[in-house]
Amino acid sequence: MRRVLVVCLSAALLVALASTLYAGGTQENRPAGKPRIVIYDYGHENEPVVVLYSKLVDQYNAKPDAKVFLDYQFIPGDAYYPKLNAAIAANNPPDVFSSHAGGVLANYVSAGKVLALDDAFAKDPAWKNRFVAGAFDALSVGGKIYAIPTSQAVVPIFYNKDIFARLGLSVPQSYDDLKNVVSVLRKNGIVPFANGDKDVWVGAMMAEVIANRIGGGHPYDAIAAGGGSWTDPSFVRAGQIIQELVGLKAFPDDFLGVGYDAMIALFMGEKAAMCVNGTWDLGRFTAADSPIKDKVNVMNFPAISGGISKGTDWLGNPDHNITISSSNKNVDACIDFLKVWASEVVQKNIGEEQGKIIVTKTVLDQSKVPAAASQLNNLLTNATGIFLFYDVGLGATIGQEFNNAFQAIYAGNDVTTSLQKLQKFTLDSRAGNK
Amino acid sequence: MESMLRNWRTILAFMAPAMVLFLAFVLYPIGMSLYYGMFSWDLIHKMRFVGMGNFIRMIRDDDVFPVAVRNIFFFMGTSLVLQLILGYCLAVLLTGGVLFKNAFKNIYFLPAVIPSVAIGLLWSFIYSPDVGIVNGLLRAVGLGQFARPWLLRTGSSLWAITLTLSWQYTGYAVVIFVAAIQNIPPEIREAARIDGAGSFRMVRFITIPLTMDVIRVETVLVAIGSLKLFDLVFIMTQGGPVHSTEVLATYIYQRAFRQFEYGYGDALSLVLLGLCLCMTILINRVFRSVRVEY
Amino acid sequence: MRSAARLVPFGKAAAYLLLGAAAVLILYPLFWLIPNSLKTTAELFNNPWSFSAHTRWGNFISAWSTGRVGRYFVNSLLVCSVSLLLIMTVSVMAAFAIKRLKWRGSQLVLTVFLLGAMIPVHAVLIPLFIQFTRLGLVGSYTSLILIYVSYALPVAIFILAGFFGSFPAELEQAAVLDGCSISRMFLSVTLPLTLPALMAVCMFNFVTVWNELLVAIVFISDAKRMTIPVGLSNFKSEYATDFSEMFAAVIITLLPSVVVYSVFNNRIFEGITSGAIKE
Repeated sequence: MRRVLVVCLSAALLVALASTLYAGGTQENRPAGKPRIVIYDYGHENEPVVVLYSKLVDQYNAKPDAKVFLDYQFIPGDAYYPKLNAAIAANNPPDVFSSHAGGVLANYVSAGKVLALDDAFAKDPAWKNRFVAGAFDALSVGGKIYAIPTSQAVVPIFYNKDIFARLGLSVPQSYDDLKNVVSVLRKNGIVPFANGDKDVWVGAMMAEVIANRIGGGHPYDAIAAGGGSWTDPSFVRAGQIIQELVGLKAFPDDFLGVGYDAMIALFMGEKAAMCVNGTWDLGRFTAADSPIKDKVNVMNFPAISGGISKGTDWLGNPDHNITISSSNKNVDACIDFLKVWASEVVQKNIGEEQGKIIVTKTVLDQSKVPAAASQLNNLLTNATGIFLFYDVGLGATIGQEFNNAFQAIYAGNDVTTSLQKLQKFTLDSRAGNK
Repeated sequence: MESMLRNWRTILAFMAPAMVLFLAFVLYPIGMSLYYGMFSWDLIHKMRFVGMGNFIRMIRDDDVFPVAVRNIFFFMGTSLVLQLILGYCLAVLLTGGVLFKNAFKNIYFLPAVIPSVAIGLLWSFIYSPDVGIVNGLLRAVGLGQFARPWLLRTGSSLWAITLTLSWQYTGYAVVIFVAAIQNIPPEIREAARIDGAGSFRMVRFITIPLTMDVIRVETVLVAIGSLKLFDLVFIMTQGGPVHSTEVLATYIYQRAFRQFEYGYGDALSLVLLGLCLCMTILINRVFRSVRVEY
Repeated sequence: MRSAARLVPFGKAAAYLLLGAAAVLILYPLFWLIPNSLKTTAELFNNPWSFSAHTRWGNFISAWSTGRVGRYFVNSLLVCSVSLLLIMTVSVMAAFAIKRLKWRGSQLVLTVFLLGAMIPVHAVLIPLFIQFTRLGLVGSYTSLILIYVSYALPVAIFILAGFFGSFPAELEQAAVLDGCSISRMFLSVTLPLTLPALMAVCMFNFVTVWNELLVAIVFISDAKRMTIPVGLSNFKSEYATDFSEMFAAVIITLLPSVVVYSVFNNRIFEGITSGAIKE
């Protein structure tokens, strides 16, 4: 018995030792003497932007004159902000990190955790000028810029043009058209919108677009400015339209259990004809191994009669923005790294290979851009503005509550009551934060 | 030798690790929990005192909280019925002189050692509307109209999770009850048999009363386990659809770690702690009044 | 008596039927995993009950490497072994002190530990998180290990104290009279005697720690450090369409538990019943 014990103990110790070596292995290539810059990023391992980020980090580290060593860490999924916040609260923040725009970023700014970039821009005006006008709108707080965007995301309706052609459908120009498209698709056994609402932000996107079509940007802007009310008629009407669409079976059966991945699967598997989604997935839809790569196209959500907006405002945000922590001790080196993102080569990769909307004045080779992206750019030439996702603009707490409120509406709860509860939550949350 | 046993240095040396760990990571956090429950904090700004605000919000404004509490009591009730009764029946059968007793016991307990995550994934698939076993079997025996997406509908999802939960832990009850029944002095059973007791009477008047203590322990275990339920719900439905399967633990996780409301999440966990303590005391009280002397 | 005698053969058959049915209900879902992990996902959707035409062992290999299950495995092993070592060491020392050494607070301390057993870790997760954040330990294995050990102590100490109470201290006293110091006596006499109970505590806690999800999810977010339950929970979203590989991963993660269980099942049963029955 004693021998067994000794063997077990030694085995356990060996395993422990081996694993700590294994776990610490990521540090092997660190050249001695260079300060280590920790970068936090979010995304899955195979996501194009993560792959690009890794590559750029490796390229930087390989430079003989690199002044710092970049340690790139990406955290997939929901765990990103919790980990980031925990690190900040422990006074051990990363030096560079990715952040969503608007209220999410403002949250860190108000706590003094992020560095303003205006000085860096003042020293290098050429860098700032590479960005298109308005690129920093949602990344500024109190007149100062706090992050650089790596691309712009907007939310069109992706649709399968083959299915549309087969059923003789054309791009709906009005809400009534859209309802007609929905019923034709359903009659032919196709799910109209792949969107479910298990992941609350998915359903919220559509609600936000519809609210915009009805009331324009003003009701949301008022709320974002600290006033306004969720009980504004445009939100109520949006809720009613959502419920109308639910009644018309515009969404998959049991859509409340259909999450983001399931939605993608439905659309790419051609079981659904349309998908309200952001351009971050455009690359996935048009990738060489995508079953719908030649069939996908984009359209804008139509105007709704009686509504203010003509459909030229787009829901979106600056995507995958990079900020510098206020405790960073190697600001110049980090700025250098940030500038790489605005270079021709990188921007071309983002625009052409990933099919995303770029935020610099780089000219893209249109033949390399996916067809759907070109079409999107055409639609965007008439764009009058971009309005932020509410959970980005208003920050996680109120934004998530909005998402939850609309999930309840999708589920059939009374629209006015849900919005009143949301309003109360918003007021309480804001009162507390003074 | 007495002095060696009383040597305070020795005592300290042996007790210190346990006491330090316990104090630092069990007792101290509980104290802090009572404190943090009165604050609102998102980790990056300063903590903000709200007094009873969190609890008032819980009762007055929160829609999900009552659902979560209702659900854990639902799971508790159904688990007690399924696991205790089924577990006890199987234990009685096993101790009634059947062959392969150990094999059966080993089989029943097996799911309890498997990670709940694996079980959740497996059963998510079993309940899958198109390719799952449940719907497949229903269709195969001609009851296809009962086939449905079990985890996606409000009513059925609760029952689906209950079934999986009982599948996982009934064996646990079986093992405990078998040990308890085997602990009954054989003379008593012999005496009862000689007195003319048939199987049912034996169980009702001998077996159950004499294992009451263990039944009590298992009741507490199942009850507390249901209150604490997290893994299966998190994996199978994440509390959905629309919070209909939400339990306190998943709700705490959502509020604190996804919406960054750590103070509110802490207040919720205090409620969970309170419920656990109350249920333990309540169950013990109830059983004390049913005590049997022999 | 007569009715009982006639009932017996019929009753036995019914008993076997019930027991057998229960066994099938328990085992079938687990067996269902096996053929399905060896198919491609397309074959799976076609017919979930069949065996594949060509077994794809590749599912297991890719689950281990690209699916990172291999990594999770090692991490779980590390956390588990260190935790178990600490649990056993700390609890046996404390149980020994409570039951064999003489001091006034011993019974009180035991009661305090028992009260601690009633506290679910969920209820204090947030203060723990805050505490560890301030210590900079969030994201490390240390945080998991410290929590697992601390919350396993009450029951472990209770079981071991009960064990100590069940046999007299004569052997140990003899050793002391022979000139041993307490520590030597503890190491050479007491420990070997407690081995069966220690094994029971060890195996019982192995199951708990290996399968633990909530604490691991909260404290570990780095994909490289995830334990098996956390890693698996991410699997569902990352591999939303590749079910066969997910099943292969599930099987890989089941195996250690099943292996430990088949070797140590009696120890595990001892662990749980001694906690329940000696109350």
